[in-house]
Amino acid sequence: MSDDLALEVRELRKTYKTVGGKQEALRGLDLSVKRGHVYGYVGPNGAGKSTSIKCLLGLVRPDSGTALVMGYPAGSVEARRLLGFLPEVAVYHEFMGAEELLRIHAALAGVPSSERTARCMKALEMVGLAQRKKSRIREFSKGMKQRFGIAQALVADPPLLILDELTSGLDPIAQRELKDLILELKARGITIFFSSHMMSEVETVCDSIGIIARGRLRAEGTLHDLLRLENQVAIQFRGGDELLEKLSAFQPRRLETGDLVVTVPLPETDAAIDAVRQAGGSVATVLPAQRHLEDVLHQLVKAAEDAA
Amino acid sequence: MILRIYYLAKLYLLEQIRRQAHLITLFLAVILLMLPAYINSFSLGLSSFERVAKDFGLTLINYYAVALAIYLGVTAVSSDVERRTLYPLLARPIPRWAYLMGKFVGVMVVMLSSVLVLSLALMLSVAALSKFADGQILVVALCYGLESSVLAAACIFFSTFASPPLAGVLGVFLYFVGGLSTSFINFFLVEDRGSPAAAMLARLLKMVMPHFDLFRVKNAVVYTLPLPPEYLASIVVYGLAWMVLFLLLAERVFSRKDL
Repeated sequence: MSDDLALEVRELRKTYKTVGGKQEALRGLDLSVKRGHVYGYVGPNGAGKSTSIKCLLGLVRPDSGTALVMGYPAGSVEARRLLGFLPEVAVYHEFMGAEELLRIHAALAGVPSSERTARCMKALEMVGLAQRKKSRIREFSKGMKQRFGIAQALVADPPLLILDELTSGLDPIAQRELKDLILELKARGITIFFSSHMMSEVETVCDSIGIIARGRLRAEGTLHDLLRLENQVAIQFRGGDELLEKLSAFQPRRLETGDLVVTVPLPETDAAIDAVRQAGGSVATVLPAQRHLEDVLHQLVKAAEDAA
Repeated sequence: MILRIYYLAKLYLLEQIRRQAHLITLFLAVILLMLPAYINSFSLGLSSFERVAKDFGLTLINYYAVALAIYLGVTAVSSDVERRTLYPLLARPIPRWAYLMGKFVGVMVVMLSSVLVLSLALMLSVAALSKFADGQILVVALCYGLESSVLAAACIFFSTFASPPLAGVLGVFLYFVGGLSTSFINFFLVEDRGSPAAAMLARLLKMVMPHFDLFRVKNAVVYTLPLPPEYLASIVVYGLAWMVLFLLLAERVFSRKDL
């Protein structure tokens, strides 16, 4: 395993026995997460996200393949010592106070008793729950419970966080707060591996992204790499609605900013710029063309389904 | 690792307290405190009231301990799985055997403390009327505690591969068949019912099950018979051996289980 990798998964396979036969959840999964990176793990429901996270935690035993967490075999006590985990459905012992439960988690994580109080307070402060340390978990809102979940994941000060569906079911304000928290943790050098359905969240906080569909990673890279359209450029220009008709051969579209944009193959760039100018448009930018992450996901998932 | 087992047991214990399980114990303790006086009111001064009170009281303690063992044993792990409180716990650097041990210790503490409270209540109430504190009530009750601990370990094992209702049924079956005495099998199944095949099956099943009848030493207290220390020591070792076996089997299954 490379020293700069926090997670390394190779050819991971897992098949579940079902009533009707077998279901392949992972079909040779490969992925690499660099230390200090925020890695967004996206895919549709049933793609294998939760199974792969469970394999990383040792909750599920893969049939074959290898998975290393911070250099240790996934599921080993050594690997679990170096990670914090937020489950998709974060359920805790709701009758307990936040600090009371956090202290038990700290003890279970092996934090020495002399450091527990300080660690618990630090974790609660990081997630903004220090003022509510005596409150019972059942008194918390969904967003606060999710923040408590991050505090319990952080309490042992792990270098790696695995967060399953971080903002699932939260209101936009709570989503924004958690996104800010992720950026703060990233600034502290913590590696964060998180699965999400929220493309906007992934686009704004992740250094790299993995797209999983039908049990295999279909694409992996930086946001820039994934969104870039190979050998195509986007020409953004200003002009009235008459340009939509005049440049219809290039299929221009109006952006939210009011500008118009056309996407053309790289060799046709000069011709397209000339056409825009001749039509009365004023070119603002010429950049490599990009897609939306949602489009990329949709395209890859469809390709995976078609191939199956 | 011992500290982690302690914290898992503590978490379990706190959970049971918040579920107010101890209130049932306290309710039964009040019944046991009043029981001898109630029985005495019917006995019209006969000296047998003490025997009846001990017999009835210890039987009540026995059945309560068995019910607790089956309920707590079956739900200890399965409730964590169902509510998904298991995931954040097992994501910690804790081996699965330590998790099971933490649960088992928690179950033992709840059960043994309940048995202790109930037997103390019975002892005090009998002593209040007979002017004699019979310490053997505690010994018998602790034997019941031991019996229930074996049953709880078995139920934890069953819950690692079966659904809670099925694990409960298996626990009841184990307790029923394992508790059949040889004389009961001979009398009811052979002499009374004339079914040597059923008796053979019962004997075969009993061979591979814990002999719960060995822990039932109530008669020693009721009829003031001696309880040899070597017998008590032997059933403690016997009980511990079965607990270890069931917990090893539970670990074997649970450590390979996909959660």
